[in-house]
Amino acid sequence: MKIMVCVKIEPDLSMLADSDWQADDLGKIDCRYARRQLNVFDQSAAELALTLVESTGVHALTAVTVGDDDVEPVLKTLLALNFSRAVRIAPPIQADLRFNAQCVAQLLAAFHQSQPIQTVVILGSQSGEGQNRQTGPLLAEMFGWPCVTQVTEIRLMGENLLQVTRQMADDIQYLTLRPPVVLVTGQGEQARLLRIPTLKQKLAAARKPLDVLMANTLLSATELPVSTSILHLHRTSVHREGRIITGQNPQEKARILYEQFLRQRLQP
Amino acid sequence: MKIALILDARHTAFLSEAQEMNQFLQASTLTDNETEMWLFYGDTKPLLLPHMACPISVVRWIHLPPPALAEQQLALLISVQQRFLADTLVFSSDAGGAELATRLAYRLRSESCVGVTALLGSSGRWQVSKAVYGQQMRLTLALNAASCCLSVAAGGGQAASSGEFEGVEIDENRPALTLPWLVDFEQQTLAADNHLQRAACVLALGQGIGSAAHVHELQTLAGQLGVEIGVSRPVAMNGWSEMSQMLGISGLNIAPQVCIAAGISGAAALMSGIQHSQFIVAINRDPQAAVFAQADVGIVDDLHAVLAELLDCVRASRIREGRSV
Repeated sequence: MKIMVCVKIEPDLSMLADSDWQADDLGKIDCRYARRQLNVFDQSAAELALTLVESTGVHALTAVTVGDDDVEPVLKTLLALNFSRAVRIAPPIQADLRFNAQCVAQLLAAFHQSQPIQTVVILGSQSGEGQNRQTGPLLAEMFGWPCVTQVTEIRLMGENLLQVTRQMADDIQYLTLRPPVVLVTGQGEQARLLRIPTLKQKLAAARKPLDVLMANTLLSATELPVSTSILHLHRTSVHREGRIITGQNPQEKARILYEQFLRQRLQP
Repeated sequence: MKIALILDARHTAFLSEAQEMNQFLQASTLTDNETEMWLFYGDTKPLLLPHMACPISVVRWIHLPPPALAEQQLALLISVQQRFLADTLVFSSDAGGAELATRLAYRLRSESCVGVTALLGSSGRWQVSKAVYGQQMRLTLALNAASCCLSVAAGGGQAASSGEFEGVEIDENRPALTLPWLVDFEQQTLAADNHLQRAACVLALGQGIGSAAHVHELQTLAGQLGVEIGVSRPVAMNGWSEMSQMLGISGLNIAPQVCIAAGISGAAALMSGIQHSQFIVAINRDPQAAVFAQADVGIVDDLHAVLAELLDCVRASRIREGRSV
């Protein structure tokens, strides 16, 4: 069984100062100085895939991302964590893929079709930048495969069957299914933290090559919907009064808070 | 223009999902519309239906047999859409709604967008607004298609009011799709556990709380007073609390009467989960913390000392009033 994990590597948005949240004329936020990290939603996907590989002995695990060369250190981390291959698809120059899940899915689908068949595709539910939540379902439609979302566990059952656990709001479901399939991991209480490689694993990975493919080797320019119609991008305003309570010590401030602001509000 | 509001009446959160759609409808400028509700149901139909923010011309009931997976829902929706041709198909905010909106649009060759707060314009010249960049920014996109499939943005968990529907109801039953790839299916119903979303007062703890021991200590104290504890993603990922207590973009959205945000910096990813609260209190040592600008009142001080005294105040007040503690 060959497994492809699609990941988004993006800037750590918590590093941006308040003044950085200003879009330029092209509707872009300057995040160049922020460190790149694996999107938190894709961490669950990578961890689930690694757990599946460990439990089955299958070792054909490919990580694929669409991004510029600044994402490569994070891909190296995945190589250190037992991914057998890490691939970067370099997007078309000037393409703005932040809110264009259709284009990202088309590139991933084209890469998938260019490879020996990978029957399980695993990915997180969304990116942090675009919050699109569409790449997994779009890949399923492009492949004509079933899609299972909110996945919390994947187990190999016999020769070529998977048992997929998904946690919904009202129930837990156990699906025994025959691949091919697209699996989208859950979030919230279903999230998993990606393991950290050891120094020895990192040193070994440093010698492993990354595969870099140019987008135009996968799809022609006419096949790619590289533009989205961004009309406005502006800072979300969430301001409230922000009145600061003063007092001699924390106890006095707490009593003022309770008596003046909370007592009435906390009445049953 | 015809709008179809598509909900799953089997969900425990059916009325909350309807309320999120109401918020979307109220924020949108949609005029001269005919609006239908297309409702999936299982063994039985609910007796009461949500009151929607616009007149509903007809309710179309779609029977969804087990295992009730997205592949079956899509086949049923295609069949209903081919007959009744809605221009805008609106889905709930949950993972299922986002998946259906995206996949249905692909099959209908229309446009889609997920997490939408408002729809403006008209057929062929749509504009949608949604949160991006970890809820820090608001994006307005143009969708240039005759029809579109949208899933709405998450709200704070409040339920829509409900009552008996007095309009036209029609059953749109179709044969269910068989799923040859599915070999076996089992399901365990979870006990309803949405204390955090129903709580009147929530204490939201960030990394400033310092340790698992402090979280557990406050958990015990707050539990005695009927205050629920929610946490930021780092706190949950540190293993200091249950993952089910995680708030924000990767967790729950809540809308309590009072939310006390303690040891929280004000990062948008967390604040998006508590922004629907009626009253927000911020407690943080750092006077420059962004959380203060997003709170109604704030205290710049040691959160442990403030919370200990605050919980004492609540307990003393309840004893004076003769209420159990």
